[in-house]
Amino acid sequence: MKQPSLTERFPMTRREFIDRSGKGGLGLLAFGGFIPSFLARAAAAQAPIPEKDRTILVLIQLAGGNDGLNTIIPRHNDVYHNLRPTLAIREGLLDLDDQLSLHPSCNALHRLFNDGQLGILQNVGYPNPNRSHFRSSEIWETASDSEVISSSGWLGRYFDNTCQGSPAADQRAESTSSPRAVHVGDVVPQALHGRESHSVFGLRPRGRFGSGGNAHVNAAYERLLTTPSGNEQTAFLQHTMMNVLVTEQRIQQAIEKDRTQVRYPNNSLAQSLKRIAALIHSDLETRVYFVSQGGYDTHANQLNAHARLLGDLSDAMAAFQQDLKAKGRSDQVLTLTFSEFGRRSAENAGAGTDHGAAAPLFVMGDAVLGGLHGTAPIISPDAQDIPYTTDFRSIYASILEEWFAVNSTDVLGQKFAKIPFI
Amino acid sequence: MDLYRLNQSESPGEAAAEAYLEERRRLRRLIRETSDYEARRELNREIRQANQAAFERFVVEWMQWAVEPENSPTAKLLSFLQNIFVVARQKVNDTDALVEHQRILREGSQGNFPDLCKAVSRSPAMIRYLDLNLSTRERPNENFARELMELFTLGEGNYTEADVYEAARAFTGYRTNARGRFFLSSEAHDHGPKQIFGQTARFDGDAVIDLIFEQPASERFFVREFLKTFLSSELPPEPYIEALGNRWRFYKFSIPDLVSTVFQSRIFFDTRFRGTLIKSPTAFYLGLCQDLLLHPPPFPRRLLNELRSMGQDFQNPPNVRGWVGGSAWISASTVSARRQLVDTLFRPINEDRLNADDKAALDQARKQGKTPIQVQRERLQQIASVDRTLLAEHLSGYFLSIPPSPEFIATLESLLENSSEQNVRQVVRSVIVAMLQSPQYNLT
Repeated sequence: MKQPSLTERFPMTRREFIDRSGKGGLGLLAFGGFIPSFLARAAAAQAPIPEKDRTILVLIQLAGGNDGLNTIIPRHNDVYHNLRPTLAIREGLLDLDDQLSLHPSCNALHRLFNDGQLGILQNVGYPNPNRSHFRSSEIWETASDSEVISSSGWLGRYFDNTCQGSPAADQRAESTSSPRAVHVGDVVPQALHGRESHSVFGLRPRGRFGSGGNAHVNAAYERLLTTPSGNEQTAFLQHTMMNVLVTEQRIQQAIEKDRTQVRYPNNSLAQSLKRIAALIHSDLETRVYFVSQGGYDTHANQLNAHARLLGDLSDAMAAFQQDLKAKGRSDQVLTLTFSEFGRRSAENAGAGTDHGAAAPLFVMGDAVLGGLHGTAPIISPDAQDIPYTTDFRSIYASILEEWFAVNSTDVLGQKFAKIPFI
Repeated sequence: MDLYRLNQSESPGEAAAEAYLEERRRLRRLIRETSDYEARRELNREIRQANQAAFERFVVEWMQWAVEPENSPTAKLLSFLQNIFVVARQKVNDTDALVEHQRILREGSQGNFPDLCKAVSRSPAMIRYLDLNLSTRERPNENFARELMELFTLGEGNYTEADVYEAARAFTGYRTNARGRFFLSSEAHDHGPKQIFGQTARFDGDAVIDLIFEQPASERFFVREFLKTFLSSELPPEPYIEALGNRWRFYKFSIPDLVSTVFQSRIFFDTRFRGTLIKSPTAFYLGLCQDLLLHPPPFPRRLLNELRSMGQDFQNPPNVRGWVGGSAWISASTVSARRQLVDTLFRPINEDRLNADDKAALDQARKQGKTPIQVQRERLQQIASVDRTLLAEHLSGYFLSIPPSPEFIATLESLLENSSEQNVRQVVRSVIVAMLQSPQYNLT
């Protein structure tokens, strides 16, 4: 092969590169600048959505893989008792029907169940279950098929979708400095990643948050953010950072202003939900909240640890619901739990359970059709995974269509049968 | 600029990985010798702890290595290659494999790209990350073969599904041994003929990589990725990519040749190309340390947490595509985390409140000359003593990669005007902190 004469075609020096670009060869001056679409768009002020139509979703992730069989207990099932000689729960059961009971530490949830504010979605999973925490969480959060890797989350795509459909929604969120979603923790959950970038705000469960800094620094920072920069990229960052600053202040105020009478337990899930209730009650336009409770990976000595986790969850959810009621918001909020997988039917040698497949979810709210939905799991004596009977995306589809009033196929890429729990 | 000056004596994480392997060997022997369930569980827990401890040393050593100006070109090239040949700690879950992967990339970056691809296919971390270890003659796993073509070498549309499947057969039997190193399991390997890119033979993995580099798309894919990272997110027109790719093929896909060709244009140093890229969290962190004459703190948990909060979990990209970068680095929580980091670097450390591990780490860092880790009063005093009328120009000239707008300078000046003899150090500190938090400093 003859060596291509590179110098003829590829600029060898910086000067040459820039000279050519100036002559229209490379268009380098346009390099690297992405046009912030919201800056280009007209800032048409939009009438706010009537409060009664503003539906909100709160997701609680039970990280680690919640043991479904010891959450919703098939108390008369011999196979269950045989497979779990030490772990089967026999006492203090909270009956749901003539076969199934709730874990004894879920008193508060049981009351909600009896009041018709708690739905239980049984035996939820997906085909070809993956037993990796990482991968299975990814599948739940991206709503992809088990074999398909997707980088965008189902709620992120919902955001993508609503801004394409009605730029006004993003515009309004922008103008009121409301993030599209608020999550608790430092890392943005994958469920909230869209194909496009959306404002997502990270909250801490306790204490002050935001960027700290003293008053002098904050004043100086604000001055610099409002100083014209004459550079598109800088302008984009200025705009974003200003937005964050304003949002931080609004969120901090909303939390400080909140005077709830409800006593929340001191666990960090409950404290997070307390903050979320305060934000829901403020004038934020945010419609999605995400919080995670860790510790469900109960490979060993599960009994006490699992009881404590479910107790925390139950008390936290009940306090949250009570607070929302007191604030007059309980008809606007749907709270859904999910976990990357359930656990094996049989206990292991360490009085724990290993990664499994299908498991039940809780869904809570005034708008929820209480009771048991779907079919109870069938446990087989050969101690393997419980096969799912409801695809988790059916639940997403129901929420997208019935709660957010959008076309679920646009978000999920496929049509899934809805479950009538809303 | 010499991108290839590798300091072999300093390889971040290697000693830690070595120690972890040693410890794991010892513990595994004990596990084999006992049948007691509790004892085994305890030993397995110790293995996990040793793994974690090695990972913590890895992040500290990596940051301390990368902050040295003479290492920073290599560190940048490595980060780029790691964002092509993505592996993630969460799935790999083995510090030794992660360190070894980094060594493979570093060594491979001095040779030809096809050879690097072959070395990567043998990387224990990659074997685990893309499921090569699960791929057998009976059930070839396509994960690696697909990403090899789609994300490492050719890009979508330059191969067929059948090519992926047949290539997957060629990569069956790639395994790691007890020492965590590559071997080919002849039993699990598919020795039969495969048809790939229209050719049929008994191809093995290396032969597939050779075939890939016969494809025209192979000379352009990597070039594009390279320019996107080091030049600008918007690419020059196709003819330039073609010419560059053509030349690159002629030089047998030599990575050093590509690097020097692109960098000979000295485009890096031109102010017109500055201020267009948003710094990655790692680059932001290292840049702060360099500009403030600091060493990264020797506290692994703090480092890991800071990087994670800014959206770049160490050695743990979110998926096989790696970090998206650009405006994707910027969100409400990451902006706050960046501001927080600047603030932290200006706060004195209360050594009495450090835990024993951190205290020991700090003592060791002092002995190695890897301090200070926080901005010292004396340094602020020094800056504060600069003639006040020149200070705004001085600060922005020193810290920002593009000259800021006249309005920006004017704002700095007016902020500094408020200072008196008594509070000058305080005011200067606030202005510098705010400037390092400003949009301008986040761009490079």
